Amino acid sequence: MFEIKELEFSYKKHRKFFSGINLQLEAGRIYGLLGKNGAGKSTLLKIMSGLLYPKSGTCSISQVSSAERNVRFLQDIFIIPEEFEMPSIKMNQFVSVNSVFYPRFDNAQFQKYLAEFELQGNEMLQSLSFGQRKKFFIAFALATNTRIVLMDEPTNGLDIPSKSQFRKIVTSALDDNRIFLISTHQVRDLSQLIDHIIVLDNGSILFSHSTYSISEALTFCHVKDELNDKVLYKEQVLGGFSAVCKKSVDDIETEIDTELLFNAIIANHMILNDVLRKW
Amino acid sequence: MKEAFSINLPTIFALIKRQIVINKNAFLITNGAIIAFIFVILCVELFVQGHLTTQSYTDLIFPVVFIGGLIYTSTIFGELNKPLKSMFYIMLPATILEKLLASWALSSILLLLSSILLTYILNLVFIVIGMSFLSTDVMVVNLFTSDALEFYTAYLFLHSLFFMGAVAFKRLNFFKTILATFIFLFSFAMITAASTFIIFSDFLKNIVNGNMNNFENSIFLSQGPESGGIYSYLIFSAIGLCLILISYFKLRERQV
Repeated sequence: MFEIKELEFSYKKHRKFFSGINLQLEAGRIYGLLGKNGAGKSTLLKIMSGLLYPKSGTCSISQVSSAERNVRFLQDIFIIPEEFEMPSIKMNQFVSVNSVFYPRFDNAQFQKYLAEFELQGNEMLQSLSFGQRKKFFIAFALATNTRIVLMDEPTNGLDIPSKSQFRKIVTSALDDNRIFLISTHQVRDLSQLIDHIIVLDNGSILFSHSTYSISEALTFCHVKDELNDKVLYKEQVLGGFSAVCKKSVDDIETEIDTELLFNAIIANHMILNDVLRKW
Repeated sequence: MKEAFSINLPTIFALIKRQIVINKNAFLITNGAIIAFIFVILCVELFVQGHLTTQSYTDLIFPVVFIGGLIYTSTIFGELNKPLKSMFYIMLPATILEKLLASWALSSILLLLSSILLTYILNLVFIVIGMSFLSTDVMVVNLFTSDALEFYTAYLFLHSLFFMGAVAFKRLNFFKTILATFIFLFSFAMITAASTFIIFSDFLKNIVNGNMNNFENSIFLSQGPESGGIYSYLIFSAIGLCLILISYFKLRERQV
């Protein structure tokens, strides 16, 4: 389990970026970390992985703090940044010199992911396109079998078929011991993948609920009447409103509209949290 | 805390191998050019003078190793200093000490050993060339003289300085290290001169006025010159170790 306790962080001395963040990530789940631009998603991932040190509070895996950056911790976590640079070596050289540091690295698994991403041969990493490099790095990250994989905008730069391949690979790579945390603002790309939604805004976590509890407590529907008393949040669309509504016993379950839910949380997270808490 | 200072030799070797493979192209091009340059100069010297001495090799190889080695040392943490590469390097499962030792060993001991090996290979080549084309005996070089050992020691000391610069600065590490060292030494000299003047102003006035009565017994001349050698080695070793220790803490503090 990954645990964040009373996390405080600031880039500048007197301006707090995060204050009092608490979060627990359970194994066997794919978490979606959503937030507006500049909300601090990437910063949170960096703190979680020990790349930035918190001002106070802790981030830890099984009580091993990220700020210590000890080997046991580093063997348990992998971060896929939004942008990265690769050395000018061949794909298999990259794997041979880096995989030795990850005791659970599985080459067969890596080859399988590469094949699924339609990456073949042993090309120079520099000659690959940005999207291909990203797929290569994702395949490597998942094959390390670290318990936690943090992904920062993993679908940025991927073409449409690659996005569905990505979803398939991530789903197949998840097991009962692993945690995937995907930070994204492309909520539609990943809404079918994530099973827990975390929303970060203004330096604090506004919302953290499983998709199961969301779909049990809320419905996402199209309403014509703006004054419907079940409506918690609405957005005008052609011919009425897209709305997030409180679910009644006799309501049927609807697919979560992640984008609408996100807007609803940003507009008024208290109401939604209240409904989910009561449920 | 205990784990932070643990050292796993296979991990250090893996880090060294990783560094060599990642910089393979740069290594090959730079070393190839240097070896070719040295080879040509030594060839010319052999054919013009008809012989090669140990000094022929050391006069060429030592300055190249010295300057090239320090430039290479300044770039040893290049991966750490590039924002888009640093995350992967920091997150690589190895302790800070292992990362530090791997980089230190590669840019100091291994670099010196490979330069010694290279010198002997060149020597062997020139022995063969001398026997085949000039019917002359080219002597076997001796790289374990007191001069050579002095060179290795001087390199190791300056290496620790540039090694710290490689961790401390993020860009143009080589030049920034030289500049920082110059500023530090200049400030240190100024402060020392100023404090000496303040403390010993009366004594200095006596010297200026020609009163040299106590000058010969002054503390500055009380030590024999032979005691200076060992002390300077000890002082420079201690400074070198301190610089490496500072590098360790700088590396540990490093964030993205």
